[in-house]
Amino acid sequence: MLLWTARILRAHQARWKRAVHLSMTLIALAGTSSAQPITVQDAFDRSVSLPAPPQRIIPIFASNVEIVASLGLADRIVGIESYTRYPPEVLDRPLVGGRLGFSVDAVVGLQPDLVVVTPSRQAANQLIDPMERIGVPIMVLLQRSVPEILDNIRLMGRVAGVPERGEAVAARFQGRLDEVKRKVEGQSAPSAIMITGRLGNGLMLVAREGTYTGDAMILAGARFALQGTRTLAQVSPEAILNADPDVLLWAGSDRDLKQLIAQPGWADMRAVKSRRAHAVSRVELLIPGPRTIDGIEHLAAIFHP
Amino acid sequence: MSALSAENLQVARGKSTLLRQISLKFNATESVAIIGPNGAGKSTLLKALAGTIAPTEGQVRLGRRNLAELPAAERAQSIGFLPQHFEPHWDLGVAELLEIGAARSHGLAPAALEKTMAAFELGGLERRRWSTLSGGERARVLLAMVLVVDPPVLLADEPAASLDIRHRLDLLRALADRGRKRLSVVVVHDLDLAFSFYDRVVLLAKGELIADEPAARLLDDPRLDDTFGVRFERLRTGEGWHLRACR
Amino acid sequence: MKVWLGLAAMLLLAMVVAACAGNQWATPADLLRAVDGDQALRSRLLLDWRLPRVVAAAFVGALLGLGGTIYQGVFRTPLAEPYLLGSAGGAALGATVALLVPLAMPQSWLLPLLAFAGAWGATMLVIGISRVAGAVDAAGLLLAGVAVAAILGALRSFLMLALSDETVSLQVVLSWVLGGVQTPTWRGVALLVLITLACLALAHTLARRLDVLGLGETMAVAFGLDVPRFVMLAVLAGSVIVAAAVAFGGLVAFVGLASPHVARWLVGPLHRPLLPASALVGAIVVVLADAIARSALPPAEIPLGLVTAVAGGPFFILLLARRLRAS
Repeated sequence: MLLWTARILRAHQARWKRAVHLSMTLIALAGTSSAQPITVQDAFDRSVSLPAPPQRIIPIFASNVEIVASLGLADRIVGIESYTRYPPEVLDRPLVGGRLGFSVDAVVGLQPDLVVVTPSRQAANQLIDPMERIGVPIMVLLQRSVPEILDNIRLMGRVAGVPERGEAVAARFQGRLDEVKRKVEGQSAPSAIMITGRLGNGLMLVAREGTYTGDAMILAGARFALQGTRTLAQVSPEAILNADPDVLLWAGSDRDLKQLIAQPGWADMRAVKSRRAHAVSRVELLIPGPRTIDGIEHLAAIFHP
Repeated sequence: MSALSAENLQVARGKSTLLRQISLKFNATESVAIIGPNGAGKSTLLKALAGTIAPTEGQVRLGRRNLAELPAAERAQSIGFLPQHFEPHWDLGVAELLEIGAARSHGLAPAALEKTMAAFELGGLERRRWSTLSGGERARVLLAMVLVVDPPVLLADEPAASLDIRHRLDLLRALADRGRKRLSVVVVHDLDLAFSFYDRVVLLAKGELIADEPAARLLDDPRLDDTFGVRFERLRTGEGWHLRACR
Repeated sequence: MKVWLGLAAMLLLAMVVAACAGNQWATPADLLRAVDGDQALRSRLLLDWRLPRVVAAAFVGALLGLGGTIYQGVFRTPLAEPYLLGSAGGAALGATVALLVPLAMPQSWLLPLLAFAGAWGATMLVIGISRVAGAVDAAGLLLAGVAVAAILGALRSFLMLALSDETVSLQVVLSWVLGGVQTPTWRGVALLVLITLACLALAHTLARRLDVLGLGETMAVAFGLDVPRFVMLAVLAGSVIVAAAVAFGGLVAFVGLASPHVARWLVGPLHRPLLPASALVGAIVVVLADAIARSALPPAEIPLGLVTAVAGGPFFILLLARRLRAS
């Protein structure tokens, strides 16, 4: 009985696969053949207009690169910067900037028809004004919450001339989020602190309310152990020790986590003693893109095993 | 009406009184030497006469007018001041220094610069920089700079002992000679030269005016000995006078 | 005469080279095409982005050279430079506010405006403090300047810590503080040119009196200069000039210090020729430094202030060596 069911499912699978392929091709064709002008509003309420769907995109920052790639448009990316590490197929594209800022010259040299930035580091400052003046369409994205990340995927789809694909990808991610919500709803939310960095003077950076990382923690079914982190990002280690959360998260390597919790005071925290101190993935939780969904799922597994 | 006069001049700084009740009158043409022991207030008197420091009481008059009320530009044109120490901050050239000196006057004839350079034998020195000049050359350049606008009054504080004897001699003689056509008031440290070259000698001590006489008369005055605290032997020489100090 | 022609020619050459320099070098032919009105992306980059920046760099350099010369003339020390009286601290504070505090005006106007106001305000504060302390001479101003700079620096650091978040990072403020010509629009360039010409005229009126001041205080007074009043006037003028330079170019190190010295080697210490010569030297230096900043480390851009500071070190050593040899 089981074997027969499996065979039928497999046959259906093949047909489904073919159907999906066909519809994707049709959608793709539809996308490339329409040469209609596109206008969208970006996160700074700026109107971004393109005469036709962009074929040469430069997304600045890993998050925007991953969003473009998630829409299947990785081959339209013509330039990246040194912060981007994923997906592997775009890593050979020319660099337009990195630690020391971003180069207008390099961007223009790649003849892009769309530049996407997030106002992090100096990207917005160094690129918005020149692109506007030279006449290259530039779109600004903000990611203050997880829903905004999904909106960015939809927005990117629209501006790239593939709105249905954007909707589809966002819908798929939304589905996974709903799944997580179902799983954690009704359960009591453990208090958690996620340390995202350490400053030279001993202060620590934590995931805060009002950011997508903090939002991810809430969606994964936790609550903030530290209050009042909206204003200043840095907290003293004492504040963390005092808060004594149920779960302690460290965005980084396991080895660094072990070093941290071996220190006096830290070893006595509830979370450490009850083995609820975990290292979590930086690329999943500190890049506001598609992999954040993966991060939320992993977090949910930690908060509600 | 005198060309320059001080009326009851008093200059105090903090608690100490540098000049006490000085009254002097200078004519339009004469050469005056101001002498006195250290701390007598000679330089202070000169600066007050030039208007570079303000008196605490009393006033200085240029002709009929109060020096303090004179516009600075007019004062700069009428009174030439030769300081005891002069070190320009930037390494200016001789021609440049003269140019700055000449800028004090608005109606200077273009030939005045050349005439002054000739008068002070600065012919070959135009392009030289201050730092490359010898002591004697510097004295001449400074004098030229101050006198290029031909001010009616010259107030000079004898340059500190950086000049060798020949140049000191020439300088003091030149300053005294100016007294024949204009007013020349000079603080002189060398008593021999004061009495030999200058028509009139003013003696100061401890901020007070001790004596103000024609040179010939003051020469024999015992106040001279008392003020300096020595006994002077007055010796006449071929060129002038020599005062030999004994205890 | 030859010196002036030489300087002017060097400036022109420097500007052409700088306009060609960048991440991807252009040729003079590309430049001509861009000026001619070619609509290709590359030409638009040259005309709307690079050329205004090169021109602005020249005028910022000129202002720095002028300001530095005035400050050196007033304070009569070869180490005087435009940022002496707290103007650097004030400008940085103003820029920090403009960059980090969300205000209604567009940043392209707000940034230069607040930087200028900060520079100017800080100098006013310094003058006010020295007045209250009764020490309105060169030494008193310098001391007050040091104190004000410290206070303003602390304020700025606090603002930076408190106001930066994910959307605006500290790097933005840092890169402004390290100096860099904010590319103005062509209208902004016109404004900058007007301002610079006005400053040149203003400086010219001070030239003779700066010469007199350089003779030493006693001589200056004897030459009819009201020294305290003139020091105040010159400091104010110098501050306006420096504030304008900072508004358009951020805190560019060493140019204001070095240009007067180089100009003095070339035309001598009289201020009538020195001031414009210093402006020309400053312009050449900033244009070339900006070209290096844009092309040395592709695809990044080194902050302009770093380039001039790195060059400043060896220059200082050279200056020191010359002085030691001379004495």
